[in-house]
Amino acid sequence: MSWAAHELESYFLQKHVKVTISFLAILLGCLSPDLFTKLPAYGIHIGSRTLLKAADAATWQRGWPGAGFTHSLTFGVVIAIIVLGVTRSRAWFLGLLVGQFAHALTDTFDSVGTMLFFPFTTQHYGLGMWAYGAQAGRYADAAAYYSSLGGVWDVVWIVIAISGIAVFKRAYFFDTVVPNDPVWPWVQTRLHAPDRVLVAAYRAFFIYGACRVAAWFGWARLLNPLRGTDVFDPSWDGPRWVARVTAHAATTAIFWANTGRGLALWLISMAAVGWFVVRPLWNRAAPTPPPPSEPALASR
Amino acid sequence: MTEGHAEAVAYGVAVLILIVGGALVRTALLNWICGPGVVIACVGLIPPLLTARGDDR
Repeated sequence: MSWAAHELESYFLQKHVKVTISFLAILLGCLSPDLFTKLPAYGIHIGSRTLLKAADAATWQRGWPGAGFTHSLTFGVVIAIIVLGVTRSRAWFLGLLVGQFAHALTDTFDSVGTMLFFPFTTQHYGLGMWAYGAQAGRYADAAAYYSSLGGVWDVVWIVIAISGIAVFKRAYFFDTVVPNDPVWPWVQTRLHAPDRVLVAAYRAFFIYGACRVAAWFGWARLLNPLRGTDVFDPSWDGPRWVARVTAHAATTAIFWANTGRGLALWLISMAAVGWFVVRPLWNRAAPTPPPPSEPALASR
Repeated sequence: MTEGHAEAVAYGVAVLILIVGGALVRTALLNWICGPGVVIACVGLIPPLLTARGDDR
């Protein structure tokens, strides 16, 4: 799994998706697959007791039976449709869709990958750029991730996010982010938050994501008591010292058969869902978010 | 101290807390709630303190 890419990619996506889209929805979409699946993958440790620990972290988080459906493209469509029906916000529908798709696709870079076309196939798609390590526990996973190309991948996302530095400016926030999302004026009105706090809330996940990379790198390479054996190994599918977990098809023929069936059924289903479910909800939804009711924001 | 400088200091403090504190206490700080919360708290609380100190002088 990616440790910081999901926080960082939301800033890149909102800049490059050329439609009215909610940043908060992208962020929530990017976080949604891991929101309720990461904790059981590691287990909750209270003293010497471990609670809620999945017997097989990879199967639980990415597979079926388990919660692997949260990392499928279908899950993104389902949560986006629910939110479109409830909020009637196209910006939130698109944001959740884009964010969740980005998460599902980003996680295809590790050794376990994701079931993109679930429920039509349980075939996993994983490039194996770094080894999935959640089965070894949270800290062993952190040590493995930040000793592999996974950590490098996070650094790439920091560079990509910084390359679009304009998105972090105050003017961008008030001119582009706020008008696309009625949540910001609502938050300001309800919480009486000053402008600088709203801007900080917007920037917070970038700062947290970037600092998280630095802190975990620092811990893995400088403070980890096992750093002598948990060596830095930026090889493909590394590090070699963590137990190998993969979910590859038995043969190439099975892989392509699963992919053909999964992709075809997924496309047909999405076309039907798009026509019969999304289209009426989309037409019913507001074409643009309601204008901010807060004069302080509206005047910018 | 100007408001802009005070905000910059607040962001700097947040970064320092997250990197140094994060490396030491790890998931207690580096999670989806506390991590962004540190940034918001620092920017919410530090600038008024710094500008008020500047006004007192």
